[in-house]
Amino acid sequence: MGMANLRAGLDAGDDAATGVSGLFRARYPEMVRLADLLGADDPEDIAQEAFARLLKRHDTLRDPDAAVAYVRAIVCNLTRNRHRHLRVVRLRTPAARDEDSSEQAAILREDHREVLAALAGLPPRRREAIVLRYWLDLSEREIAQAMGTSPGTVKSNVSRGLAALAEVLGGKA
Amino acid sequence: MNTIEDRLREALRERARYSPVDPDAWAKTVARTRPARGRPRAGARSRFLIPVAAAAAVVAIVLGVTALTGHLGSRGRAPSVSQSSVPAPLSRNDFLVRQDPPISEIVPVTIRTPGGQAESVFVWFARVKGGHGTMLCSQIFRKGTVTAAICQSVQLSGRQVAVLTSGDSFIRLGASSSRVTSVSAHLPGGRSAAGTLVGGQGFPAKVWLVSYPLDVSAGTVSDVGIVFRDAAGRQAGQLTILGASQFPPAGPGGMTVFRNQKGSATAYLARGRVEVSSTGLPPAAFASQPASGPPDVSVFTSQDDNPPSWLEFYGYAHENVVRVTVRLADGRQVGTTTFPGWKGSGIRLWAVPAPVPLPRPLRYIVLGYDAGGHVVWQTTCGSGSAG
Repeated sequence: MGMANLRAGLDAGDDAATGVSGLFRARYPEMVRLADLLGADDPEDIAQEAFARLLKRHDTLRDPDAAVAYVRAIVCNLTRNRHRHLRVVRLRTPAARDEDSSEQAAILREDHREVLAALAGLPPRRREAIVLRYWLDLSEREIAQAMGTSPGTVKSNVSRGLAALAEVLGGKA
Repeated sequence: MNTIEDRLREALRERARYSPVDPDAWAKTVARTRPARGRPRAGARSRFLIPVAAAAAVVAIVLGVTALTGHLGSRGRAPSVSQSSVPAPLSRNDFLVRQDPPISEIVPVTIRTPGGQAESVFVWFARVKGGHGTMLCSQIFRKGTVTAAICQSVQLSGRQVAVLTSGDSFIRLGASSSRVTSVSAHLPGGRSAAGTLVGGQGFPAKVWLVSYPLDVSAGTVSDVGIVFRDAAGRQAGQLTILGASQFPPAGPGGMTVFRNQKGSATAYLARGRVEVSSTGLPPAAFASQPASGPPDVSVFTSQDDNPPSWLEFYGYAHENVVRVTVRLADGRQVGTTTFPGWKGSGIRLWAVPAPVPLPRPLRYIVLGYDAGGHVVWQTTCGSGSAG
């Protein structure tokens, strides 16, 4: 339904909101969750900004699948930028992220907490590759598109990320 | 697939379940592209309806909802979000969330009250303790404060299309079957107020919410009809929210629910519902729904003082409920057996004093058990960080 709405809206040259709203309904929660899993401090802010950018340039996107990939790439990019910003902020307020983590942890199983904590300890690029691969089940090509890199680099990031997780969690990669 | 990959998928999937979505997100997104047009109108949650599985049956219940005050934990928000109209996401350390972990997405809904205020409600589903049955949970915010925080058993049955589960003075909510596409409140004088239906990931039924003004005349509060319609506009069902009436009620002989040194409570079966007249207590309490329908267990509390110096939990139950226990947040627990109410009514009554000193804030879980010792009904009440 979301895809159909987007295509109809774009092909008919309707107001941007008409076409993108279908995609928004279908994909907004997913983008919020993606930003959240990538460690964004405000996932909704990032998802809204990503869709706002899509709205601004919808005329150049005729393919709904390309629109999804475009929004996903913006979410990854904005989250990465937020991490860079937060690294600076944390030098001044080291505990800023801890409260959020404890809230999330309270509702999760112990095993899930361990896995997510280990994931959060990975370098951003490896974390992105892992989340896109194992949560969204994207192909290496799709992950590369979202991360703005090559499939070979994605393969390397996933492999090294898994190895690092196995080392922390004591499993076999 | 190896173990690490399995664990990763499971942990990511589980973590992703708990990402609430702002009901005004689309309006805010559009506003980012049109900064000169000012703040967006608070969007109706219905724009984000997610199809839900056909609900087996309806549900539930209601009752004297105890208003509790407290504050949710805070979490960073986007600068574009108005703190006055959109509260922080529900804390994972909140009492309800800790006691009854969500089995669905926690969905925030913005309700426009008759007074024009944008008020926020979080809704989600949880499992009854012991795994038998489902509860609809809600927290209602008014001016940044929780005015009602409750999880209640919910069960749609037969051809029932909707049930009332909880609410506060101005907002009522409940669950409805998938055939319902609109809801409205019909007030005295031909007035009406449109409600909202929401869905979310993991919702076993739609959740309906409606806000309307209290209509008070001659010292009573009028009844309100909640009407549900299907996609063709046909009326699919109706609930009547019974208003407050004059006390003492005109019903069959009163039955003493409890009596102690501080006061007493006497129950009547009036207008088909249970009404309670008290001495030494807030003067009256009444169920909003007929006693013949849900709830399986009703809960009243004897004191509205905050914090109360003493408290008696009491109410009525259907005849399948033989025992009721009350668990306080600090781990203390009291229980009692139910006793027969009016002859032929199928109603049983119960009362149990809360242990003293009372915990502050007051948070509790009420469980109703059948003769086999199974939990057949549950209410969890309270908000704020679990302690």
